[in-house]
Amino acid sequence: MDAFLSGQLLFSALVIGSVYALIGLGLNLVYGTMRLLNIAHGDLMMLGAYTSFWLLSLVGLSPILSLLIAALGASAIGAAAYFGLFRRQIEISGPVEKLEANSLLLFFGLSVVVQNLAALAFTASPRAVPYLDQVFRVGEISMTANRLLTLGVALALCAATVIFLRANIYGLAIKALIQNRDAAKIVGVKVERVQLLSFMLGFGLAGLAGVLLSMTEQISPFMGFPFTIAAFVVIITGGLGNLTGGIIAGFLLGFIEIYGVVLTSQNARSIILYGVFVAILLLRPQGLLGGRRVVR
Amino acid sequence: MGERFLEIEGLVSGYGAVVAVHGIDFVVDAGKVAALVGSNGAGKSTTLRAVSGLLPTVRGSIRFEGEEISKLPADQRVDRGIVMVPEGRLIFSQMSVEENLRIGAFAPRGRRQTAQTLETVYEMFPRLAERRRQAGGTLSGGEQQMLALGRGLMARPKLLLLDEPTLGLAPMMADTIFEAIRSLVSEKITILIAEQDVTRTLQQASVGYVIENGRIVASGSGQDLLIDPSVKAAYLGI
Repeated sequence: MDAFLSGQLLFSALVIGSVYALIGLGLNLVYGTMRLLNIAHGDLMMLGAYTSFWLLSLVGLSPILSLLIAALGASAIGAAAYFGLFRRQIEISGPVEKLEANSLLLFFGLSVVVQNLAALAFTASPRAVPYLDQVFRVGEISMTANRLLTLGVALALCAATVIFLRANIYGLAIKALIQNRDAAKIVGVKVERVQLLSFMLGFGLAGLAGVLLSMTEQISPFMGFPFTIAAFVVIITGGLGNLTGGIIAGFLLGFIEIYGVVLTSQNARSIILYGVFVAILLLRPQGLLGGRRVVR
Repeated sequence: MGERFLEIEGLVSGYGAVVAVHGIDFVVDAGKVAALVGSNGAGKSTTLRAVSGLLPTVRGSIRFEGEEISKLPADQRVDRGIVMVPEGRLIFSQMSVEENLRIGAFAPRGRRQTAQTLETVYEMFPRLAERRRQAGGTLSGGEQQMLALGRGLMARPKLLLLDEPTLGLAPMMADTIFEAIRSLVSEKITILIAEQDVTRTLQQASVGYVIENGRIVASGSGQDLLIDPSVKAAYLGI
């Protein structure tokens, strides 16, 4: 029980929770505005993680600088995916259900292609980014600087995104598009431009999360999938398209994971996560924090 | 004949394969109120939605200030000053009142003057000012209608399309909305309105068009239509 109340666990839960919140936020932007089910989200993270690895091992660039490069790179991929694959889909798909189904298949294809290209280019051998990984203690809690950095950057990015969505007219337009597409058109929102922005922002956040994870997780071409699943758990728990709900759900998931493992065993990790997820869906299909929102 | 402010010719429009408007012609002059009158499903909403760009123009033309706009997407029509206040209001229910209004000024014509227009709207509807931090969805029906109207004004419209602005509102609220419409006319905003309260609408309208089954069957000044026996019989229940 002592361990249960320790700051150590709290810290671990916050770190992993902040990353879950960040990847959920990125996924939510793309799903909410366009109803596209991006199951390649974790693969974008994987590319971000490799960006961090190669830039450090080839040119000695610090992962902190890689954050910027990965964000730009992932945004560019987002823009390419929007223009190349999805803009036309959104135009011609008609009913939302069809668009969701089509997008699922397209993103699945994208995911397979990206994973296999990464395996070809980088080989499947696992890599690591040793950066700021010396252990130090703050009071009771032992931590590494890279975990602290992960927490700080992820929190700052979530906050910056939320502020952008409130204060900036394009941020408001993203929220407007999520809530009511017809109404957004009526008030003159440039729907195409806002969709492109959502793609770039969503993909960019995934790339950033990848760089953060590269410092604490093993990197491989297939590392993305569990995080894709985690991101979906987060946004469904928080209510699809509910951005702040998703951030809260991300932290919730982090806490459930860390404390659940402590109470049971490391082997139960997946069972706890998906068990809780299924329970939430059974009891509240609109998501734990979905509230009044009608999920379409 | 010189160019008209809004000129509709042979407009055919509808939802997908279902055509609801079968070739109608009408004009709206600058600074005036024009009314579309007709029973439910006659094609009033379809016409307004086609003018705003929410529904496609299948055939015919829509000219605004002399330029053909029927192929333009909705947002570019807002850029030109054509703004719709839709039936059912379509406000953003999870966004605050103020956010709803600010997004109304997305188009460049409104964005530059967001702060001033916001003041004007709050003066016009003090209720909205009181509730500026509240989520749009928590407002009463009448307040939501004020919000939808205010949001439309944020774009600094030249032509305001009002679709059933008093539908389902309490009489006092309806009075407030009609009062607001009167004050808009005095500010030289042109209005094209479809409204179930035919008497009050025609009293304010300088021109009215009666639509039946997607066709215009009568037209005239608001006063003339009010005393027209067939209009009386069909829509005024007299």
